[in-house]
Amino acid sequence: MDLQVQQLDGGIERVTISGRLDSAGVQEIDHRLSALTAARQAFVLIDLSQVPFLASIGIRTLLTNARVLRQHGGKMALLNPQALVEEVLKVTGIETIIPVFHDLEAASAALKAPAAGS
Amino acid sequence: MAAPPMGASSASLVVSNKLPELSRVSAWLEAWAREGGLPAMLVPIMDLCAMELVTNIINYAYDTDSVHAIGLNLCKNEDGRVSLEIEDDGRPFDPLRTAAEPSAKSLEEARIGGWGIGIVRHFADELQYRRVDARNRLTVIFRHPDGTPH
Repeated sequence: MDLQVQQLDGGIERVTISGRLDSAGVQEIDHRLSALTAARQAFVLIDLSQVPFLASIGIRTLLTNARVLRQHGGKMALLNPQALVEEVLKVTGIETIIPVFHDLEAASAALKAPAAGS
Repeated sequence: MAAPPMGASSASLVVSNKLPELSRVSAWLEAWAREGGLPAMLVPIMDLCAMELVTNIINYAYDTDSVHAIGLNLCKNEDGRVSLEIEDDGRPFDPLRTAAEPSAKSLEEARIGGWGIGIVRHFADELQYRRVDARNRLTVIFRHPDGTPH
């Protein structure tokens, strides 16, 4: 389980997670991800291309962190989920509340756009 | 549990109601699937359903922290269907009678949790529930995915 952070243009942080987002995987990355989203305005793009498996417990982590970001005026988007992971995001309705992109440019543009209603 | 028919293969595993046990469930399921030559695309789907269901049992089936056994049984039938049976002695819970959660419209109103049963209903081809001798017995059936998407 690995988590890499890369600074992109426009103050966006691309967080590439590698490994299964199941109970054990979430435990390994939870603190590092929380540190990235806590108490600051950040624009975080979670790259899921190296995540072959997403269980409820992983969704909980994504949603909790997305909510913390929003509370501080930041945003989260998801990039390049694998087919099974994308299906899970669809079935659970998560893709309607944390946007999913397959294109880095589009994801960056969405993260930099002003939040709806603000 | 009835003996599997000739030509079928089955395996059993017992885990305790602790989250670290989930890794054992995944490893066991994957090894069995590999030995049995199951279609590669079926394995993560079965794994996902097992994770969701066993996680629910660990988190919600018991009132106390006491240790309980959760039994799992995998069976590949001659007709190509694969069944995953999960048995626990926790509070009665029939996932077939659970109303589907409405999808959240926004990040603020989204409920954190409660997705597991929806995921299982989506990916499994059939669910059967029975309460037998104060135990929940849930059978999840997967059909051979002959190239047809879910």
